[in-house]
Formats: sequence, C-alpha cells, structure tokens
Amino acid sequence: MTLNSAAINDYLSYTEDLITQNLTFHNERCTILYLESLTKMELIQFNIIQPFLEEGFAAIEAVSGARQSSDLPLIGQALLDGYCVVLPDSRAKAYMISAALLHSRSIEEPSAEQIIKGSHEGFVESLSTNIYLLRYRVKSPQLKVKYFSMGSLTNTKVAMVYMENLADPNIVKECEKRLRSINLTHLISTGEIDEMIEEHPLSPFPQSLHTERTDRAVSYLLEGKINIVVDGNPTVLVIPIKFFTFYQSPDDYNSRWITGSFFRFVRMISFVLAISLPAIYIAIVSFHSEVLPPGILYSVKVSLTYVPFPPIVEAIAMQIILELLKEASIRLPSPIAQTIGIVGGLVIGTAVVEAHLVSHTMIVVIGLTAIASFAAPLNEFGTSLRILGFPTMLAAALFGFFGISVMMMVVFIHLCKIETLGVPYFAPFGPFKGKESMKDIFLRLPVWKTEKNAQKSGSHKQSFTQRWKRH
Amino acid sequence: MNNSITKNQLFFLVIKTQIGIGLLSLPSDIQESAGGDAWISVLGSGVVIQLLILAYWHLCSRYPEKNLSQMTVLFFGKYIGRAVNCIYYGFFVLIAGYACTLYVKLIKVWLLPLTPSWVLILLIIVIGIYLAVEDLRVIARFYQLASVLLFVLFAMSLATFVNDVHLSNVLPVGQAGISQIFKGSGKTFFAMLGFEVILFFIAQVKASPREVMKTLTLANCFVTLFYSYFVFICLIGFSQEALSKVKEPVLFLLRGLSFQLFDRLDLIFLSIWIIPMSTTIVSYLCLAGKTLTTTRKTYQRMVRISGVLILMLAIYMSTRESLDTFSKWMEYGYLIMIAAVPLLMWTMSFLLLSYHKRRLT
Repeated sequence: MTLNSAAINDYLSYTEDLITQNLTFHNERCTILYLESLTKMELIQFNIIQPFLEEGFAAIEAVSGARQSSDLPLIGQALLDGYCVVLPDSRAKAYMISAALLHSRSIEEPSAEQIIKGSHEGFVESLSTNIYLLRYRVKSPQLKVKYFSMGSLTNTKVAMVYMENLADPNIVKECEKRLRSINLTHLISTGEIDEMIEEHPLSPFPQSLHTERTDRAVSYLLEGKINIVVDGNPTVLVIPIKFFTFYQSPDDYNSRWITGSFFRFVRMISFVLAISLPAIYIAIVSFHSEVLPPGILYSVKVSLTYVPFPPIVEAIAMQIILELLKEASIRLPSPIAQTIGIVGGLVIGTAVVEAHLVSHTMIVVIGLTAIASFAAPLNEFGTSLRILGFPTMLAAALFGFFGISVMMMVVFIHLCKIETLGVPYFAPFGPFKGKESMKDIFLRLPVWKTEKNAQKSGSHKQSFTQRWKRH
Repeated sequence: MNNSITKNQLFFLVIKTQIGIGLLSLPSDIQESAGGDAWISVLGSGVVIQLLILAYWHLCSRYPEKNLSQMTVLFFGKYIGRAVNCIYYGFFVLIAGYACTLYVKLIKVWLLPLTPSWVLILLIIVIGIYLAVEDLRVIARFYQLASVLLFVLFAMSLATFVNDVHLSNVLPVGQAGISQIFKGSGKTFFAMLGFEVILFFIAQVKASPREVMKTLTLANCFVTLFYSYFVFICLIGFSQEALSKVKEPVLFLLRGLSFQLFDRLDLIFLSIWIIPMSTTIVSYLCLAGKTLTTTRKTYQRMVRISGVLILMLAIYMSTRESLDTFSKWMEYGYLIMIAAVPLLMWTMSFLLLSYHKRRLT
C-alpha cells in the first residue's frame, strides 16, 4: 500500500475529525494530517505550517521530537496519540510531530486520602503529569520509567516506574513479565491491572496498594517498590506490598515521633477490634456470659431482655444497615449525604433500640467496630476488615470463644501464607524480624534512628545520628 | 526452591510443638509422685531432654541435610528403613490423634459442653491441614507469630499472684526424695514431647552446627523454665489435696480471679491456649507428611491423608470413656521410637560414618 493521505484516511476509518491540508513551499509540496480533536491548532500553526512555508522540509526536520517512519500502523498510532503527520509528496517517509492537546485536571488533594499535615498534592488523570509529579520529587538518574501499551482496542499507556538501584531486579523482572502477559481488549482502570497481576485472588486482603498521594507513591519508590501508573487514572498501584504498609500514613512522618507511634498503636488496636469485637460480644452473650462480672452482665442482660432475635441476627442486621448507610451516602452530594447520616444514624439508631429490635449494647459494639474499621488509613483495607468480620461473627455464634480463636488462626495463617512477588505479606512479623518490626511498624522511631541506607553501594555503614550534636 | 529455615525459626518450631496440651494438667500429674518438689522434676526432665537433644544434634550434624526418614533408609537399608519409617508415621498419627482427643475433651469440659466432638475435631484438623500443607518456612512464620501469645499467657499468669500464695507448700525443698522426683520427671517427659521434631527440621536449617546447638539449648531451656514456672505457681497456689482433686490446675488457678471488667480469666486463657494446642497438631501432621514423602506434591497429599486418618482416630478415641491404658501403652512405644531408635542410630553412626561417607560422595 502506498503511503498517502488516502491510505491513512482508510486506516482511520474515514473519520471526519481527521483534517488534511496541502502546503507548498517553492517546489516542495506536502500534505499534513492531524486529528483536530486531539491536537492543539496553535502548535500546528506555529511549529509546522509557518516554518514549512518559510523554510521547507529543513524546518520540519528541525522541529524537536520529530520522528520519521513509513510504517502505516505506526503513523496511525501517532495520529491517535495527538501527533501531526507531515507527508512529503516527494519522499517515502512521513514526519510525525507532537502537537497533542492536553486537558488535565488541576493538581489537588485526593479526597479519599486526606491528611492533616504534609503535602496536599495528588495524582491526576494524565499519565505524563503523573510521571512529572514522581520525577519532580525524585530527581535521580536512577528513576526508571518503562512504558507498556495495553488493551487491543483502547491502547492504554501504562508506565512502570521504579528505582533502578533500589528495586530488586527479580521483582522487576517478574512484574514486567506479568504486565506483558496481560491480554485485554480494553483497559480502563488501575483495578483491572491489579486483578490481572495479583497472586491470590481469593484472599480478602488487598495485595497491592492504590494511592492518589504523590508523597506516598514516592516513599514506596524509595523503598524499592514498583509504581504502576495507568493513563487516565489518578490512582497509582504500588507492588509488592506488605500488610503493615496499610497501617502507615504520611501523617506519621509529619508529626513528632511520639505522636506518630501513638497513632500507629491505635491503628493496630483498630485492626483487632474491627475483626473481632462483634464476635466477642456474640460469644459472650450467647456462650460465656460468666466472663462478665455481675455488674456489667446485669446491664447487658437487661438491654437484651425484650430483643426477640439471637445476637448473631442483631449483629449481622446492624452491620448490613451500616453498610447500606455508607453506600447510600457515599455517592450523594454532601448536603443530602448529611441528611442521610442524620436520618440513618440518629433516627434509625435510636428508633431501632426503642422498638426493642436491637439492644443498646449491640449498637455500641457495632458503632465501635465501624469506627475501628474506618481507622485504617486506606479505605479499601477497612472494607476487607468489615467483610472478615462476618465469618468471625458466624464462628462466634456457632462455637463461642473457640470459634473466634479458630477464625483468628485462619486469618493469621492466611496472612503468613500469602506472598506478593515473592515478598512475605506479613513481614516483618512472619517471618519475624524483631528490630525492624519495632523501628517502623509498631513504633515510628525518629528519622535519625530509622534512616534507611539508600546508598547500598556504599561499603561502609553510615551512622545516622543527630550529627550536629557532635560538634 | 529455597525452603530452608533460619535458626530463629527452628527455635519457635521446637517450642511451639512442645508447649501444648500437656501443661494444663501437668502440675496435678507430677505432684502425685513428687509432691512439693514437682517443679524440680520438670527441671530434671529438661536435663534428660537436653541430653537427648545433644545426641540428636550430633547425629544430624554428621548427616547434614538428611532428615530422620532419610537416615533410617541409610542405616537400615531400603526395606527395613522404610518399615521403620512406616512405624514412625503410625506413631505420629497416633500422637496427633491422641493430642486431638485430649484437646477436644478439654474444650468440651471448659467451653462447649454440648457441641459434638466430631465437629470440633473436624475444625481443628481442617485448620491443621490448612497450615501443614505449606512449606516449613510458612509454618515457622506462623509459629513465630503465635509465640507472642506465650508472653500474653505468661502475663496473665502473673495475675495469679493476687491470690493467696503459700510458699510453704514447696518447702522444704527436696522433701519428696530423689527417687520420687525422678518418677515425677518421667511423667513430665511425656508432657514435654515434641522435641523430636528436631530430627526432621534440622536438615532444613541454614546455620552452622554450633549455632543450631545453641538454638536448641535455648529452646529447651525456654520450654523447661516455662513449664516449671507454671508448675511452681500451681504448687504455691493450691494445697496438695486440692491439687490432686483438680484436673487442670492451671485453669483453676485463674478461675478464682475477678476483675472489674471481666471475670473468669481461665476462659480467656484457654481461648488463647487453643492456638499452642493446635500448633502441636500441625507439627505432627507435618512430621507425618515428611516421614513418608520427599517431594512437595506428594507431601501435600500425604498431609491430607494423614489428616483424615487423625480425624477418624480422634473421633474413635473421643467416644471411649478412658484412654489411660491406651496412653500408657502408646507412651512407652513412642519412647522407644524417639529415644531408643535415634540413640541406636547414633551409636551406629560411630561405626558406619566412614562407610556412609564413601557411599554418599
């Protein structure tokens, strides 16, 4: 097939936003083609048309980023990427010059991952802006970007970003292998990539971290992890990830270490509470009420007197009501969401107790559980916890304390079992590394205690103390 | 595939196998013979175990990267060796079934009197299999994690000092006489079973023999001290008459405590104790798999089959009224398997080492 404007028109299904224009400079003639919906007119006018009319092809060749090709699919792809194609009549090759029109949302704080102190910058939908945001924070020659094109229909651009000197080459290789193996017709969101590369699809725990925060993504880059950025998505995927990373927040590092450690500790408690609190309550009232001393037992039993349902039904019903409330209010504009919060929380909450459908203590227990599950810094992790709460409740209703112990064993065995890209998920607890677990998992020790030795190549170990104290 | 474990992990594998159901009833068992000196009996049996461990270690370090079942084939030839392994397998299944039965009986007495035994046994075995089919590394990871609970249990036991403490119960030290103390040691020995996992797991440890020995000694010390501590608090908490009447003195000791927020510390203690009890069963499942198979796939199948066997055995045993005669018979049989046979192999190794070396290289 000869390379001419008709062939290109045919390749692009005679779409009407493909603009063709003939230009002449002395005896040099050419045709320029571009998709008007994807290109910026001024750029074409000032970078291509004007120079050509003044100096001819020499000017086109000199435009920065100009590429040459005679391959039709490649040219078609370039047009779809927002390039302007210059087809000289006399030569066999076409020039491709970038003139893409970028519509991008402004950089704002992601609403799902707000923090009190620290950077309020979040990723946007444009891939190039997102990579700019990463590069802006890590000005290192070691930062490496690898592009993939995925989806036979959508041709979505996907970037894999990592630090060449910090990332484990085996993990990088494995990750690349998995990305290359993806064979989808269309790729719209980061979640799809996540599902295609994760190892344990049956696990309730997320095995990759989705974040919209640039500081968070960068901090994982510097730990040697891989960021995967998908064009059109403000969410960056971080792999491989460990369980405890879901309990760290950039806030911890922006506040003083005692405060940070305290909040870490609170979040750890929230993990146990979110899974087991309703189950413990159910086990106590239906099997082992002798665990409570008479004073507390009396008030619990009084509130249960008129309730016609077994505690497991109460608990599951309340949990479902809570999920309903959350689902209903999450997508509504905030004034309506507030109304739902009031109607749901206050009206249903008190009315349900006064109608003797649910006991007071159950409301307290479910409320506490919900708050505990929301305490996880990443929302999706809290959801996994609430989902895990259901089988635990069921186990407690069937076998009491024994059921809870068994269920907890299953959860922790599972956590010990799973690995992501060869990295144990529950590290540094299983496998246990005492020092590491104290430094940055349970506590958040001061930076000069935990500063990771980023320069692995350095033969001597640097001491990271507060150096100014020595002088 | 890399499936070696660190020496740290070996430590936890050993202690979590050893610490299990035996401890709860141990104080009343040994005080029958050793009286107020029961805690010395525990230390005594710790010493005996240490000697055995020394022999095990010496044997294993002579045949690096070989576990017991591979060694038996090497020592006794293909057919007798396999037969010995089958006997080992039978014993591991029996021990697991027996531990499972005791475990379920305890749960029935203290937590769930009405739930049928087979349901509980099924639950325990299914979880056991879920963990045991994995690599030793994963099992070790879980054991490490679960070991944190030992500290929680220890902290709980400190609360018993709120009760009246009668130090005079253990005084004068040595009142029972040496022979009685030894008798008590014999009984303790069976409660502390589990160290035989060493014979199988040493092969996968990535450390020098010296470090391994250090780890094993530490593990043994830890278990011995843990046991004698619990025996000791029971001795000073109960009079001898009371101790001979209760079956699980450790739990009864906690039962008397009451706090503002919760009563019945014993139930909470037992709920946590479920995890060490289950890990013991996991270890035996793992051993059962390792005695007869070498590849990962057959190992997993073997663990599942053993699980079913243990399930049937435990269901059968839990229907019987008394297991005393059975347990006596089994304990002595097991003693031969874990003491006599390895010691025999150890002595043989002095004669055969040079021959084996030639054959192996």
